[in-house]
Amino acid sequence: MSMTMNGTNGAVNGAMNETMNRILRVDMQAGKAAYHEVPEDDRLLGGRVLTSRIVAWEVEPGCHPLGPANKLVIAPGLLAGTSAPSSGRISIGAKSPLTGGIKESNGGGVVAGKLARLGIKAVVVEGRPAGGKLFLLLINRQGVQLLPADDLREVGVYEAASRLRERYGKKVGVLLIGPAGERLMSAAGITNTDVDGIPSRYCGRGGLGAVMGSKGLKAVVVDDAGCEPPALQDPKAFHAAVREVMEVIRETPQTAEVYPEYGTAAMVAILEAMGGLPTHNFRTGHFEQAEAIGGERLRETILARGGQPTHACMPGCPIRCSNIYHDAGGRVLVSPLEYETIGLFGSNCEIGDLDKIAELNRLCNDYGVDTIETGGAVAITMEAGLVPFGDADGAIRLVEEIGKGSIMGMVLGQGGAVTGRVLGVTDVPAVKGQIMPSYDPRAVKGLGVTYATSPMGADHTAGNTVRARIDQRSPAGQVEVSRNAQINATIYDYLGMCLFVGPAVKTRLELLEALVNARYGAAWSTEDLRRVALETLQTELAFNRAAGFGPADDRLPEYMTRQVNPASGTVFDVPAEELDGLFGR
Amino acid sequence: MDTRAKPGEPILVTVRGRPGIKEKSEAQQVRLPGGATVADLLARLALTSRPEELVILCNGVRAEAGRKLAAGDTLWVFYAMSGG
Repeated sequence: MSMTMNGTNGAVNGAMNETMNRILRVDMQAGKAAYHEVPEDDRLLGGRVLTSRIVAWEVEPGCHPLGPANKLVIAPGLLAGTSAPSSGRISIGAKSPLTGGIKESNGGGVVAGKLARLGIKAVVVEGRPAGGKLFLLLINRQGVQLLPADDLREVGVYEAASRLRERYGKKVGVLLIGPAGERLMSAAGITNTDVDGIPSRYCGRGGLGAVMGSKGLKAVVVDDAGCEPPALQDPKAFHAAVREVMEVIRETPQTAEVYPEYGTAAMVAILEAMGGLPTHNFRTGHFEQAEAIGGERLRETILARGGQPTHACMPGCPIRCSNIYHDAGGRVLVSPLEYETIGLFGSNCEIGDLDKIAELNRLCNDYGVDTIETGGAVAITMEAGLVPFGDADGAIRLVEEIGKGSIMGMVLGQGGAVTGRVLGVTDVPAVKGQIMPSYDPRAVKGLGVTYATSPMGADHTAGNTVRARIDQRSPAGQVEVSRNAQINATIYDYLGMCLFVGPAVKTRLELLEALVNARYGAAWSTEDLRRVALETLQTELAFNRAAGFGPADDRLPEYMTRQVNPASGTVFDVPAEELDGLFGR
Repeated sequence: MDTRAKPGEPILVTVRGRPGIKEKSEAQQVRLPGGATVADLLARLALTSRPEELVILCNGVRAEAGRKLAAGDTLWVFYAMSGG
């Protein structure tokens, strides 16, 4: 089936990029697509606010997440395509096959900016093609085409992206799933190409790659050739706000020095000091070999081998926290190598070797699985005794099973919770079926509150409290800290802005409202942004309740309330009634 | 062993961590006057620019500028950040 959409409803012209006001709906069952104008009142919808609204309004909460009733929603943030720094993140939403609840996962790369320049607020993929066929969606100024992609079946993302860029041009952006997504694995993510065309920026969490696979969609290729940046309602004010944001980024040590020089791997030393670096399947928060996998060692290794210790994943990012990691022979092994992967595959599996962690990362990327979920699943397999902790080659062999699609691989590819059930491991560090990221919630209790109460499941980007000025080991005050962090995170996800801008603008939030107002001709305050974020969280929570979630789902695993993390000397002891009161249940 | 210094007696603390504050993460020992606080330590380390951006852990627990230090304390000093 080949379908070209370029009819009346989808007519494209040079003015289309001026307002970013269209939603592209793609019906995979009928093989049809159509553009729909967004009402003027909805012009300030974008990013997570838009994905969650569409999912909540249009997806039956009780539906099977991999059935035809689920929808995959792809939405750039409000500031995508503009010169606002670090604002090119893309939100992808659906009902999650991993958590069973609503999900938004976002990543960097180039696709968000290109969709914005095409005037597209969201792409909604619905239905499921008959006969198990595989397609790619090509979006450009000329129209929309749904094209056969059976030649890309079971092809890893590196090779697939290379072929697609060869076919459609080096400047296209690509959203892509790997074999794991095609096989409907619940740990499957969706990757975005970065500024170098490498499919490395994952919307990794929640199994959204499996949702894309269930739609028979291998890739979305976005070509914005001939398009202009989105129109600004007040260019002078917008550019003034951009200059101010750039200035505070340059003046803030974290964004000016630490992230660019060490990347997120700087967190290894911080969590080790806090007793919160997940080690031995979250049994403790202290890893003897932390220094061997930390930010300084990563930087030294990259520099010694001719890699890049600093790298921008999206156009116009001044923070450049990404990196390009080379192997001992000086060849690119993976980009980027980041803290969460280092924590879950490194300390949590007791692997103190950056080369091995990078190899695991590359395999996960190529197969299209989330490194947090997969690292957690491998550690659980180690706890079950199938492979010893610290056995890096054993871990690599396990991950290769995912690529082979063996029974063991299919189990691991369903994530840590399923792996634990299959292998009889009861102490699984997951909430709502999703493995915790690289912060032990007994040592960073505010983040434990976020893990427990976020509609997204255990997700650090849903409201990270590790920077908060609070005693992280005390239960007192953590609920309020988490609540604020969850609202702030939702604002960034709404704007499509990277959370790492946070340290720079945390006392200058008026700059964010200035960007939105100048871009859209609005008159919003920071309070308006917070209101929309809170409404979005409430919408997401209501979806989850309708999908069957209750208070028992808003808890950390029971063992974390009993078993002391020896490195912090604490259990998770934020009272349940406080958790339940966080969003006014 | 009682590690508390007598009034006025100098104390020795260990400082670790600090990715992004240029120095490597090897531990260094710093001698301070008895009764010294976290703020005194930051001044000794010339970390007085943007102190609000720093996270200081004393023996693993968050410490604010006014906290008095004791002999043998281990301090970690970082910029406040998060992973992605």
